[in-house]
Formats: sequence, structure tokens, C-alpha cells
Amino acid sequence: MPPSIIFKPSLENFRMVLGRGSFVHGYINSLVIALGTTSIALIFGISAGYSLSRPSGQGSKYMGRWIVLARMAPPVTFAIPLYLAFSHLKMLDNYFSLIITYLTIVLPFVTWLMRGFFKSLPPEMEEAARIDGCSRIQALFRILIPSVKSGVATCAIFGTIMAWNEFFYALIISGRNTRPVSVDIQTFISAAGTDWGALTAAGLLVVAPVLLFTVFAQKGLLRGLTSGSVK
Amino acid sequence: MPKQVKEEVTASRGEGSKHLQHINQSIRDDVSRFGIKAILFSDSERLYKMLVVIPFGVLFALTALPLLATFVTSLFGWYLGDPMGPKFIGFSNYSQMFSDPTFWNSIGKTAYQVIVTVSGQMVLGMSFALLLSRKFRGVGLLRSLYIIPMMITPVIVGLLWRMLFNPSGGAINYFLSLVGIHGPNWLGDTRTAMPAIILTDLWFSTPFVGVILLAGILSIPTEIFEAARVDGASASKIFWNITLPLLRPMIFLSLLFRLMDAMKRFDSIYVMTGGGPGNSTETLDLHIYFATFENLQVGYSAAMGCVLLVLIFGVSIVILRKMENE
Repeated sequence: MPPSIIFKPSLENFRMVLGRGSFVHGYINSLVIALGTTSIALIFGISAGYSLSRPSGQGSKYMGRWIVLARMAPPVTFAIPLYLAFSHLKMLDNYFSLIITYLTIVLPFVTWLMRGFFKSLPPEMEEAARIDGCSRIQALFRILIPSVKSGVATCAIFGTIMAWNEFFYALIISGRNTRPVSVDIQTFISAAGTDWGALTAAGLLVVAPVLLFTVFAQKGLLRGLTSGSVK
Repeated sequence: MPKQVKEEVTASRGEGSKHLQHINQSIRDDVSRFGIKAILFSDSERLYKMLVVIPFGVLFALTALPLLATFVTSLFGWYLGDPMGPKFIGFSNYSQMFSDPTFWNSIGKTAYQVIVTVSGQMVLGMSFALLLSRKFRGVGLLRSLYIIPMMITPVIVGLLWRMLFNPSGGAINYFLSLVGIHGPNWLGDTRTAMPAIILTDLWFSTPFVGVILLAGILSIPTEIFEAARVDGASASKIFWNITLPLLRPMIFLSLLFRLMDAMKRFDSIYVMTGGGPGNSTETLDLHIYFATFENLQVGYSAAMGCVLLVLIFGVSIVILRKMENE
């Protein structure tokens, strides 16, 4: 059947996709994992990024190299030991283990991106806060982090998109209860044939939030995607 | 401060003990005052250090430990179905791998996929960047629309192209039939499967190259181009002698990331062909996946994973060196 220009639009496919329990469940799973991963990555990534942005020490240079090296590693080199560990601990099919696994890609990314945002602040800002009687922690939480709010938002959006798009780790670590939508969507393809209409409807539902957020996060896009190699 | 105090103390030594006592008292006051402050300060300092050290530790542990564990695993003969468990065999996995024709097949497929995809993307990305660097109506919108494909979920991209390549009812063969060409069974034929896989990534990742090169072109001061034009340089001369040399750092940068990601590309190949038909699209990353999770040869797979990491590392380090020399 060739595609034709004249067709009757219908929402039937969307109704069918949303009527499938596994798809909706997968969507919720993806959301839980993506938000969980991003919040943890932000907690650790912001403070690690801040300390990397300080001029003192060689740490920054080596950490940058390490982040690039970690990006080189194929996912399978992370997945094999994590899979063995989680299956030994009976922790497969568990949100926590999925989030830990996802953090191997999201945390270095958030750290490096935050480092860039902190670096763009003038160093006088922290000095002034210290002179006015802030401790270093107060300076960090009351002055510096609020000043890079938009950077934090960029990190949050990117981290969420990365975790949302993740497929390989999900394929290995997730199971019946925690399967995210990126893995679940394959069930529309079966040996009996593929329901292309439903598949595209499902695909659109998966991609929609990503497209929406991409528009908001354009600013940090390049810096994020090339993390570790651009100063 | 302490020096001054010491001087005062020495100076006062000859005078009355009352005076000495007074100074001693003031020093003690000072110490206790500064002591409390110092404790408070060091406390916050300690907390601060924890804030800095813990995230580092987490980051390092999350990335370094698995890599180390993979290397250690690669030294074991470890079949998951074997009740005997892992057995230390040294580097035997590596020697077994190098005499395995399916391993070499996957190396060949990876090289084919990576070289064709990345070189195509560099050329196409450069053309798009040049196009989008011009000023015309709606260029701002085009620049922002252009980056959208690369953020789409890779699995969905694979599924989308699988649909387009579908021999019965897929859009590509339909359009080919309009011009009288009977399209092949793209993903079902060993000769066309890899080109189809490559085409998909050309669509998906070329914007990445384009965006980086575009940023590079836009950062070149326009006076340079104007001066060249005034001096009567042709458009192709400007490109080869000005744009290209100035873009070198950006070219290396996009090349680095494209090579890294193309070598470990998994998602879209997995959903499009699953390495098939036969093993005509089974790149090393897919080969390792099947060896691990279908054949359950964990130790052997870990060894192949280490080889893939070393390959990616080797290629990247060459480019990183070049970038640092620039």
C-alpha cells in the first residue's frame, strides 16, 4: 500500500498507544528515572563543578581529561561490571540501580557544564561575599549558585534529556517493572508484523518532551555536548 | 601578628611582671578568640571540603571503578551459565579474540561504518555550516531548527528510518518507484543494510558537526572576509585559504566527538537490523553486546570491551594531541 497524499487524519493510533498499559507505565518509568538521575547529578555535579572552576591546583586539568576519557569508554565497559554487580545483589529491575548506571554518563556531563558556568562568574564576586562575612559555604549557596541559575536549568534540562534518551543501559539493567519507554517502544514491532501507525504515534509521544526542552536549552548545547574538551 | 606579639613580649620581659601578666592575658584572650573563630572557620572549611571531595569521589568511583572492573573481568574465563564460576586465565581471552573471525568481521564493519559515516558528516556538516553562516531571511529559525534532530531519542531515530526503509510501503522505496526504480529490500539485504545504517546516522549526527563548525565560522571576524574580498579573492580561495585554516580547531573538535560516538554507536543499529542480516551490520559494540547478554561469555566480552576502549582511546588521543598543538 503506497502512502497517499490524501488521507483522513485520525487520533485512533494515539488512543491505541495510550490504552496500552505497558506504554503508559514505561512513560512513567522514564520520567522517574530521568528526574531521579538528574536531581542526584545536580546535587553532586554543582559542587564538583564549582570546585573545578576554582583556579587552585591542577585538579581541574586532570579532571577534565578524566571526563573526556570517561566519555570515550563504550557503554558496554560500564555495563558489564554494573550488570554483574546488580545481578549479584539481586538489584536488577530496580530504579536505584538504573539511576546509578545512568549517572555514569550524566554526572560527568553536569559537572563539566557547571564548571563552565561557574568559571564565567567574576572571581571578585566570591571575594566580596567572603569579605562581607559569608563563609565559603554561604558564599556558594547564597551568592554563587543563585548567580548561575540559568546554567543549573540548562544542566537540569540536558540531564533529563540524556536520561530520557538512554537505551543501552535500560536494555540491560531494567526489567518488567522498571522498563523505560525507550525500551518498551520496541514491543510495537513483533514477529507478527509491525503496527506502523501505533509505532509512530508512540514515537511522537516519546520525542515530544525532548523537542520541547531542546528549544529551551539551546544555550548550553554545544558546551554540553563537547564536555571536557572546550574551555 | 604573632611576630609583633613576640616583640612586645621580649620588650616587656625586663619590665614588671604585672605588665607581663597583662600581655600574657591579652595573648590568651587573642588565642581563645581566634581559637573559637578558627574552630568555626575550620569547621566550615571541613564541611566545604566535604562538599568538594564527596562529589569528586562519587564521580570518580562511578566512572573509574567499572572500567577497572571490566579490565579485571577480562582476565577471567567467565561463562554466566557455568556453575563453576569465573576462573583466572590471564590474557587468554585476548589471544582467543585475535584468532576469532567474527571478531575481525566486527572490526571491519566498525571501520566501514565509522569511516564512511564520519567523513560524510564532515563534508556535509561543513556545507551546512557555510550555508547557515550566510545572512538571509529566516536564517535564525533555520539555525535553531537544524539542531533538533540530534537531540531526538536515538532509538526513535532508528525506528523511524527502519520504517522509511521498509520495502513494502516505506517512503524511500515509494519515491524510488515514482522515478521507475525498484528499490531494494534495504535492511534485509547484506549489500544495502550497511549503507542504510550509514545514511541514518548521516541524517542524525551531521547537525552536530554543522553546529560546531557554524559556531566557528561565526566567531571569525567579518573584517577578514571583507578584506579578502576587497583584495579580489574568489569565494573558493577564501574558503581554502581563510575559512578552513581558521576553522581547524573546530574541525578537530567535531571530528573527535564524531569518531568517539560513531565507534560506540549502538542504539539505532540495534533496532534497525540487530546486526543482521547475517552479521553484515554487526559492529564491534553490537558484537560485544551479543557475546555478553546472549552467549553469556562475560570475561571474553569484557576483553573485547577493553579492546574497543583502547581503539577509541588511540584514535582520540591522536586528535587531542593535534588540538593541543594548535
